[in-house]
Amino acid sequence: MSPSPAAPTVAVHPEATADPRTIRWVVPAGTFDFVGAPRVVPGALQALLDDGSLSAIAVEPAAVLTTAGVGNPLADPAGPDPTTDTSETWHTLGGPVRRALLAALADPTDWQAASSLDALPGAVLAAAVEQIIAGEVGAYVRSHGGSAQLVRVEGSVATIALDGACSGCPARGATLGLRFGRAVEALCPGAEVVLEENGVPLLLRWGRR
Amino acid sequence: MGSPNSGKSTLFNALSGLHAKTGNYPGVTVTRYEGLTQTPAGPVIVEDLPGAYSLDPISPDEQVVDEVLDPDCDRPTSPDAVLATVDATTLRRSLGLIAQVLTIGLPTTVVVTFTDELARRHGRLDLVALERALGVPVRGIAAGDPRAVGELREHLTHARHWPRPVIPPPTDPDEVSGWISSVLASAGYRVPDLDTRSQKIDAVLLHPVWGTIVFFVTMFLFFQVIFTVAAPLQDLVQSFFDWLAGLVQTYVPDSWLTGLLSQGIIGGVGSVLVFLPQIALLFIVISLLEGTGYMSRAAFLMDRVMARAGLEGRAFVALLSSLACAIPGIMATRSLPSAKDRLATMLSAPLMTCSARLPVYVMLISLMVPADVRFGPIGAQGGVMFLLYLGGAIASMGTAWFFSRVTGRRQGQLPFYMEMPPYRLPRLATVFHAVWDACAAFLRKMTTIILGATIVLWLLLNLPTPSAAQLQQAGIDPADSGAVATYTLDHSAAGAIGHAIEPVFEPLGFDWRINIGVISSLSARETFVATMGQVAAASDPENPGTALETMTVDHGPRAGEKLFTPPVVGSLMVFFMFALQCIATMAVMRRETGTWKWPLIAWVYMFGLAWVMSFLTHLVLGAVL
Repeated sequence: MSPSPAAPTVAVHPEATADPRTIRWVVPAGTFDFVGAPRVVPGALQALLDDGSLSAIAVEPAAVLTTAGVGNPLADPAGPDPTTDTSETWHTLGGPVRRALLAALADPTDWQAASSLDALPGAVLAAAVEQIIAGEVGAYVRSHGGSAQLVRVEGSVATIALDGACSGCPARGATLGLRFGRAVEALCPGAEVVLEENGVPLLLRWGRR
Repeated sequence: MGSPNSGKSTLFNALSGLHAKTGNYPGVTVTRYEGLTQTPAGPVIVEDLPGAYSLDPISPDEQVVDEVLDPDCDRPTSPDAVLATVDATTLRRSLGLIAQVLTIGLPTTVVVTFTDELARRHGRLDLVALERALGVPVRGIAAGDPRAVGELREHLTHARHWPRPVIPPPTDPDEVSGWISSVLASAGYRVPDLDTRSQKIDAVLLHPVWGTIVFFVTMFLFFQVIFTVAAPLQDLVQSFFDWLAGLVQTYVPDSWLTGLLSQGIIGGVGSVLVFLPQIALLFIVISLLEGTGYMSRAAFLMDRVMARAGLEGRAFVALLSSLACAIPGIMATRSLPSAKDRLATMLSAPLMTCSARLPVYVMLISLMVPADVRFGPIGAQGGVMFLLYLGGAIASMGTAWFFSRVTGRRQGQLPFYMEMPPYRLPRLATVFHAVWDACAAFLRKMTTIILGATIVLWLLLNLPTPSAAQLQQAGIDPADSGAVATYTLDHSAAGAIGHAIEPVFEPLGFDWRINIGVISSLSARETFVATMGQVAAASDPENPGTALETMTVDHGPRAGEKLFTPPVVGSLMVFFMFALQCIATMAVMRRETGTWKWPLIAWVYMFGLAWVMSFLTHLVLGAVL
């Protein structure tokens, strides 16, 4: 499907990451069926990689990470100075990358995963769960003195183990299930989460009902 | 800055504590509000920009916002940072404006308002995620939350170091809409339920038939209330001033000073101050209608009516404000994008029945319609008042229609866009403020224009003082104060003016005493009441209350008949309905149009209209009654 002027623009917005050179472009959940660095990206993005504007592109569940190139023609010709503010780079690079990305997202099937591992069924869900555990929901669990790990992914069901302080809490099934469920649903529409404790599944399933 | 109704001014008031200085933007007639807010790092100047839906200006207000925020526009008032308010319940719409603001590159904080209402209507918004998505600080604030305001003050101190978006939002409309959708999804935004309560109410109140009926019933009840509730309060005020005048007459040595104090100042000002309860009630009801959200529904209903007058619905808000006073009404025309519409609305606003006409109408109605006449449950006095309001509205519409045709062909219609806020319980503080402001403005007007006019009038009415010789010549006993007062009035400077212009108003049934009142009312309508009070006090000092009713014509073909017959009172009412008798309104009109041409045209046009209509009324009522 080629983008026509009448086609609705893909919903995309940029967010800063811990690395000032890298921008996370949040894309609609379920856009990609793989994670990791793509082997093939559509022409417009590839051109930016070729001319050095971008040094790397990676796919996350519901996001694309783009890293500004060191030798990009838009950057300071004197080479990157680690002390300079990279925001200037992205001020000029932002527009072209956005347009290239929008064009590239018009048909996500043109993207190809680097390895078959990244495109295994469940790879996206696993990456999403890892991202959630590393993110706010995981932080919430840790703030209560608990911990969470991804145990396994089977089809569209991810199993998460809870340990530590959360174990005895009567509200754990509801609050955590709900939090994890919502977060996973946001990244992988249609996926489900099962919580398990000491190998025993909690009897609550969250996700698509 | 922010869209209209996004809680901008509420936030501004909370930050600056109502110590706002008002001024004007150079070259345009948009009011500028500036205030100081105390932060831990010292005072910070905050400015409340006019509401804007976008930075592609279509109205003067949006033009101002655009210029103030334009980094290329070198002006001393360029801000260091921006607080952009967005209404949490209509976030999608507000983000378009935010996208434009963020591309400017000034340090910006987004203040999300109405978060409490979002929660009540089961909406959801993750402020942390929104902050991450926008790339600028986001703060939530609920109505009347002093803690959040305190935190915001603290936050203002670091304005220069607020984070900015790494990549500014796009400018292409398609890309912007994608950006907005993505930001909203990221922030877990769930659109609040449509207020089912509001929907159910709207199903009735916006219905073409029921809605119109409800609208008229509401307006009608409104006037009934003003009459029934205000009456006892008015009696209180009246008796207070009577007591005061009595005090003066008892303790001040008998001289012209007694007259000036008791008749001139206390009588004049008192007779107008009696209407303070009524004005307060009027504004209580208006601000209740505003606060509940019914006002914008009324505007929506009236859009069809306005279209007939060649105006758009937005003009209705201006005309509705004119019910309180033409001045805010004329100022409200700034929200109209087209200059032609602005002018037509400005010229028709003074015809709406403003609160200054209220005292005059009340006095005239009480002269014409006895208080105990009722048609079933409806008091006749309230009914007449309703008709007067209706007449003003029709006259106003006719004028708008006439001028929107005359001032050139209408340009292309701009989109009509009016928000229907959910029905809310009005906040008492807001109602109190509105009423207080209105009463304070009325009192200011009282103590300046009206008091001045009253004193000047008293002097005109009582000078020159007749000498004993003159009195003897006229065969009047100097001991008979009533006869002396009547003689004085007859031969006073004001009497001379009144007599001189008699030919002009003769066909309307006005005699020279009414003429004095009409002349005095040209500065401000309320002075008519004060003047008539003084005239009455002069002609029958023993009994000023009933003096007007018993006043008789003293010369000419009708000599000896009662002066205030129904045809005369009717034509007076109609005269006041149409004439532009308000210096302040003309001054504002001059300020808004930038020339004296339009206020003068308005004055001449309305005087002519008033005279003709008054003449017809006098003719018809004279034939019928």
